[in-house]
This record gives sequence, structure tokens and C-alpha cells, in this order.
Amino acid sequence: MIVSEELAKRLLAPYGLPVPPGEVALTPEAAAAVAQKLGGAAFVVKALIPAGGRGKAGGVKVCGSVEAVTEAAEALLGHDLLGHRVARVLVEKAMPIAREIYAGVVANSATDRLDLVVSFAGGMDIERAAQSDSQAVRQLGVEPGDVLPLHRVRQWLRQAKVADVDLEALARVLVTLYRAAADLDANLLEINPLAVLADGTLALLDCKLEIDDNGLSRQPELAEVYRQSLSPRELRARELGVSYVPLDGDIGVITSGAGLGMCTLDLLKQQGLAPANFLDTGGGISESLVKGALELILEPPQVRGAIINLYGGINRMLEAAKGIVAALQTISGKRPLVVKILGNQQEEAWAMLEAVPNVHVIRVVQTEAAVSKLAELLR
Amino acid sequence: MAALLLDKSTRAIVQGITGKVGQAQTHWMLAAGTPLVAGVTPGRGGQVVEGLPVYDTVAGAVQKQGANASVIFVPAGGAREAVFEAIDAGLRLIVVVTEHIPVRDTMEFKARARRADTTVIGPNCPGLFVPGVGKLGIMPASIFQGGAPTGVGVVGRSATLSYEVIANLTGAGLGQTAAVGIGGDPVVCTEFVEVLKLFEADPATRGVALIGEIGGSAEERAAAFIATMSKPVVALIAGRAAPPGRRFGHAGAIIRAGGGGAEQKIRALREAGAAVADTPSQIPGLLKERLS
Repeated sequence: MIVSEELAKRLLAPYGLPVPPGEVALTPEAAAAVAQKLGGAAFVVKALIPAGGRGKAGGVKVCGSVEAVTEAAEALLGHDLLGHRVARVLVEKAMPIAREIYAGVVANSATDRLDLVVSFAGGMDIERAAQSDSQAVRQLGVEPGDVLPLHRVRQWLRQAKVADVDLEALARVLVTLYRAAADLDANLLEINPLAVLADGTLALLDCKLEIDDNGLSRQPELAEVYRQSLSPRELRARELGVSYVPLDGDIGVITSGAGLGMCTLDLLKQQGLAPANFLDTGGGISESLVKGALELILEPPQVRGAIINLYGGINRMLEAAKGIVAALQTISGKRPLVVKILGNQQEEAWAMLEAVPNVHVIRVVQTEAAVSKLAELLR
Repeated sequence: MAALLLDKSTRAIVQGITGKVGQAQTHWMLAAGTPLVAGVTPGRGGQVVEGLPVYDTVAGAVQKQGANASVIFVPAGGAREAVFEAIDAGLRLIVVVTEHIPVRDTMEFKARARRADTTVIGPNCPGLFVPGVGKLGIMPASIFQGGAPTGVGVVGRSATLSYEVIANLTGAGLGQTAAVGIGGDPVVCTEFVEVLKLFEADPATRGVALIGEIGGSAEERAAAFIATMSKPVVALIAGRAAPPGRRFGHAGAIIRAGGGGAEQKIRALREAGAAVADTPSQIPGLLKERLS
């Protein structure tokens, strides 16, 4: 789950981290009102979208007056940026930046730990700086479950030999970010820039936060935000206990397991077919789950055919067959459905489904056979 | 630890045996001949499930039944503590079937397992199956073919895609020595490389089918080991049609933890001498060419 910048900052503020004052606005008028309230002569207006590269794409505008804030909000709100419609902007007080530091905490699958990543060459060109000078990036972590002690960060920063930064304050911010990332089950917590201001103090000017979806079970506030961000179909999928991904094509896809699903999508592509969606049933296959899943994937009007590819294991496949029959009773139209289901009671399931119009049963273990059959039926 | 992890000396317990899934899977593990000796559910000691005594603690099962391995079906919220308990009780092999475990928890028990020199497989995995011995986990016995003196080793990240490959091997008359599902999460405790090492050292295993997918760099690391192997490896990488993931943040790029594209993995595997199949059903043919 990607957490929007303003919520991420709101979550970090109670840690005592220096977050700039600001508020969200949904209209240009509201943006101007926020600027009035913040006071001062310089503001930043930021498009709230879940995408990286926002600054370079023009999604962050520095404004020298309240009027300029209105104009910036008008230019952003309701427009598309990096594939997202901008519905909200964050208006903050602009800070006088003396220097930009990059600070990230990342759940690193190469080191199997949370790693603190710091570069004194922060800002929008961090990646180029990191590539041209490997010394520019420092990486520190502790054994998972351990606390990162302040003295280690302090000592680590001293080796960097930078003059114009309050290293003690920076060490405290970094240790706190590391702790917050662990508390929040973050896959990524990135502050770029972590600014050194003209008066020498630090400020978290941007914040990217991505939470481990499996960690949401112990992050109730974030879990609720996540729920509210889902589309009605995604919500139904969640209630069914399946994962559902909408895609751009016109073939509905249900599989048991993500790997088998990806393989099915690969084979569809080889046949020139494009998926409209992809639903992964997970492990527990029941009549009601399969019924709900099939209703979900056949619902988008552009879907002209579908494939069901299940390995039931010990699950009773007759239940899956009943779910398919029940779903088709509620759905009109004659779209072909190719079904490859294997597992406990597979013969009974095949016999039941072979009696259903527009349902084509594949009795072999090759997903290719199912995909070819669907391609042939749609030709 | 034995050559292929699970053998006749294994005395395994089921953690979470009194849950619906734990109980059902215990039935099927016993039906497959698995040497199970007990179950563990805190607070349920003294019960009997599928003919097995239930203990409150793993240490109790070790003391009373000589347990040395575990398969875990405890729900995600309690899984980390269950793995800790199994490691601390001195078990040598632990299979974590549970899905949806937060990655922070996985990192913690992976580190603890490394310190204790315990083999943990998973999480979010179907476990392992050794024809003629049994299974720790949920792989369906019906797809396997054992009995021959030699066979193919199977290792995969995805459970059901691995089943399809195994069923195709069996259909083509290629029996298996073992199958290991390492799990689909970004961090898993046993990686391709460790399993490939077991297969390379196992005299009965003649070749390997590897089922990978996009994301992470486990397949690239596997390729580096495959380059040193004497046995043929045929691989399949799922996710070639997946759109490239949009990047959020710079961390992946600047610490070079990125990678993960299908083409990159396929190239690395081919350069290491592995054959890469386009479809699951090509795997038996490609293996046969290399085994003859």
C-alpha cells in the first residue's frame, strides 16, 4: 500500500520528526485559504499522487504569493499526472533550503533486513549521483528485531566528513526514521529531500511511504485508509478473500495461485489474447468463493470470454463446479468459458460442467490446452 | 540434515494442528506416509488429532516424542512466535506454510534460524514432498511419481505452477526425487541456491526443474550457482507478459536492489547453461534431451 504524502507526514510527526506545516486542499480556493492560514511569503503546492518522479513531471510548484498558490492548484487539480488524476493537493510553507540529503529506509530482500540508506547528494538527481559515485551512498542496518543504536549512526555519519550539517541532529532524525519504518511495517520510507534549512535545522520536505500489505493487519488506521481506497470490485474481492487485479484487455482470468496466474497470462499473450482482469483464489476453494469470483471477473462488459485454471489439491472440486454453475445462472450472455480444474473429485466436477452450455472442460494438465481452446472459441 | 531434507529419520510435528487447515492437512500428510509424531497448539495439550498426541509446547513434543522437524499452519498473526518456538526447541527443519506474514516478521525468524543453523522453508509455501517418504506441507500426492532409482528434483516459488510442472513430468514418465516449494514472498528463508546444492549433491537426482517468476533476484543468484553445476537444469519464468512495475522512490535503484524483470532472469539462466522453457509442458522434453 502506498501512503499519500500528507498521511505519511502525519504518521511521522508524533515521533518528533520535523515535518513542515501544511494542509490538504481539494479546490484552488481551499488551497489559497490554506496558504493564508500558514502565512509567510512562499509556499509549495504538491499534487498528491501515488507515483515517483512527481517533481520532475511538474507536480511540485513553488509559489511566491497566495495568488500563485491558487494558480498552481488550478494547474494541478483535475489534471492527469504520471497516469493519475490529481484530486488533492498539499499546500505547505516553503522552506529555505541550504542543502539536500537523501534518507531512505528500505526492507531489503538482498540483505534480509531493514537498511538505512543515506546520501549527502540528495534531491532529484540522487540516482545519477549514486551511479557516478558509489561513495555517495551509505547503507547501514541491524539484525532484524534489533534496535539501531544512535551511537552507531553518529559514528557512521562522522566518517562522511561533511562540514555544514549538524550531524548530531541528523543522527537523531535517522535513528527515528529507522524506528518509525519498523513500527509502520514499511517496505520503503524515503525522505528526499531531507533538507538542511538556512538556519541549520532539518526538515522532512518530501516523504514516500509504502507499507507491507501483510503488515496492515496490525496497522488499523492504515488498514481503514486502504479499504477506503479500493474500488467496489476490489472491495468485493477482499470480502471474498481473493486478490483481484483489473487489466486492460477483454479476457477474464481466474487461477489458484499467483505463479499459475502469471503463467496463464503469459500463455494468453502468446495466443494474442489480453486479460481484462486477473483473480487469484488463494488456497481455500469453496462453492461460494468460486461463484463470487466468476461473477466478479465476468462483470466488466468488455469481457468476451474467460478461463478458470484451478489446482484444488485437497479442496473438493465438485464445490468449485457447483460455484461455476450457480454463477452462470445469474449471468446472461453466451460468452465462452474454458475450465481446467484439477484436484480432489475432479471427474465429478468435469461431468457436471460438461453438461453446461458455453462451458468447455479441459481434462489435461496443460494450461496451453485451455488457452488454445479459448483462442479457438473466440476466433 | 539428510540429503533431501525429509527422510525416514524425520520425526515431524504439526504446529497449529487443531485448526481447520492444520487438521485437514495432517490427515493428508499421514495418508502420504509422512513420519508425523505429534501436534502442538498452546492450550490444547492432551487432545488427540488424527491419532496424534497434541502438546502445549514444541519443547514438550521434543521431550516426549523426539520431534526434530515441524510444519507450521499457525495463522499469520502468530506465525513468527511459532517459528521462534520451533527454532528455540532445537528442531532442524521447519516448513512454514502460512501466508500473509509481514516481511518484518519473516526477516526476524530468518535471522534467528541462521544463527541457530536451522533450515526454514517458506513462508507462504507448499512445503516439500519426497516420493516414498512423505510430505511436510500441502503438495497433492496424486501428481507425483516416485519409485524409480533416479529422478528429477523440482524447486519452485509458486505452488500451483509447480504442481502443473510436476504433473507434466509424471505424465512424461519422468519421476521425481523431491519437490521443494520455497515460497512466493519477497523474503523467503531457503532460496533456490540452497535447494540446488542439495539436488547437485544427491546421487539419485539426475536433473532439476526450476520454476521462477518475476520480482527479486533469487533467479539471478540461482543462475550463478547453476553455472557451476554438473546436472542439467530446465527453468520456467512466469510473468513475462506482466507490465513493468512502476517505480516508487529511489531506494531500489541506488542500492541496486532492483532487477527482477523476466527477460533479465531468462538471460542470466541461459548464460549459466540452463534451458528456459516457454511453457510448463515443454519442461519434460527439454529435460529428456539433456538427460539422454
